[in-house]
Amino acid sequence: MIFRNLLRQKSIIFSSTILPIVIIWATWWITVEVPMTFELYSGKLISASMLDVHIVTGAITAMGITSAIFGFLITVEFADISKRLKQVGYSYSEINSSIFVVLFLVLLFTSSISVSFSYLLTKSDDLQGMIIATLLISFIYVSIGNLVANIYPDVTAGSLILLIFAFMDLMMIVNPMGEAIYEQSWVKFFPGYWPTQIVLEYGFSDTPSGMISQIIYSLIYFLIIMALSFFVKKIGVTMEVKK
Amino acid sequence: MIDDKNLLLEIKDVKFHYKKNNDILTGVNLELYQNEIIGISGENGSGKSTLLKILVGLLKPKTGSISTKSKIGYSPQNILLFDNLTVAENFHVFGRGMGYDKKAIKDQMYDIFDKLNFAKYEKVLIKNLSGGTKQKVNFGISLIGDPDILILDEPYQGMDYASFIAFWDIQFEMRKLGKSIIIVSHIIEDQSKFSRSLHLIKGKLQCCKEEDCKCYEVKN
Repeated sequence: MIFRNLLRQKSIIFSSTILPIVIIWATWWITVEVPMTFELYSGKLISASMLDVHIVTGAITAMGITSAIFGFLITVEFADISKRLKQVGYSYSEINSSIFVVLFLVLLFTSSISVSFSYLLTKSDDLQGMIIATLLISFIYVSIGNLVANIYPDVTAGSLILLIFAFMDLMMIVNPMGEAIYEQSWVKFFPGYWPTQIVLEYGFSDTPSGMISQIIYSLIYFLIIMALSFFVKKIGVTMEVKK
Repeated sequence: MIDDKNLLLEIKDVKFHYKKNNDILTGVNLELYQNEIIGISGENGSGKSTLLKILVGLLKPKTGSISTKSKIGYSPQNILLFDNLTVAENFHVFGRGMGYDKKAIKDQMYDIFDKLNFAKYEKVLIKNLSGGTKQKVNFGISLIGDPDILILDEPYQGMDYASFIAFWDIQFEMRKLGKSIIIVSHIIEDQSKFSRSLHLIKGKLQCCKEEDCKCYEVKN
């Protein structure tokens, strides 16, 4: 029923299909095909077409934004109704797991659109890294959306905070061009860093390596944010939102 | 523990705050017996909705206790329904939570539809209903499972007159069956329908008497 409730929302159909396509298309549209060189975390120096690099990072950005907005809106939307469901007899674990399953299905669909569309536009022939990276970024950004919703459940402000943060993280800070400029160790602590490394390593390196450790780092990041989110909810630091 | 079989709900010295040093409820006491309709009023922000949330278990009191053996139906102040599901689907979701199967939910749903006269909206999405009809559905959900106690937080905002009358008919019918109702209401005309009219003042439930214009704290 929760799935049916979500599927009947036009905004869900919009954000899960059109939004990723628009972001990837816009990235492709504004990027020129010139060679660029960047260094990966593994120390490899990569030379690739800027267009190809930006399309794969664009797919990650699209998934990051979509996931963050989904995680945020669903947490806000279900905050009150979850309480009523709890009152009639559902357990919180039943409610949360059904929301999680629904989110997972929607994001799986969105990921497949992002991966397929960017695959069409890029010369990078790596699908494995792309699929894993988009799924990881989805998990991480859903949890960030959930965290923001628990702290500041205002729809307009919360969505804007997430949009700005996701763009800064994925388009600027962990982007290979940005990283070359700000070659600092702190970029590793940004949520998009490890999934971006996976997609670049497997998309552009002839001898890709370190997938397992990068997946583990990403999952640790996800678990830390989920734990933080749970802690925030438990101690009730939710900021008052004027309606 | 409740020993008196006519006693459905007992609230003892319930205190609550959202922020420390800012108590909203400073010691609420109440005994709800069979066949009672208790009206609660109070200023905005006095803690009426908070008290009802505590009674249905959505919030935990900081101190004090609530004892009941009765089944509770709750209609919240805000309409809490799935906007993109139909009326019937909403009944189904909430009915399943209470442990009823499809057939039992359907039977109860049609019974509630008849009482509240919204059978024609069965297959309409909640988001396409008027405010008053949404409120009826919101209230209707609280009737699933034939509860012994109904806890209603301003349940008839936006209802038309016929629905308002139907709403009170249901309350009186329930009272005849030995059930009880706690209702937050600001409507003066409702006062005559209550067995007891209580006011939430300074975090305590008080009973105000007209004769001497004084309010007395409710003590069990």
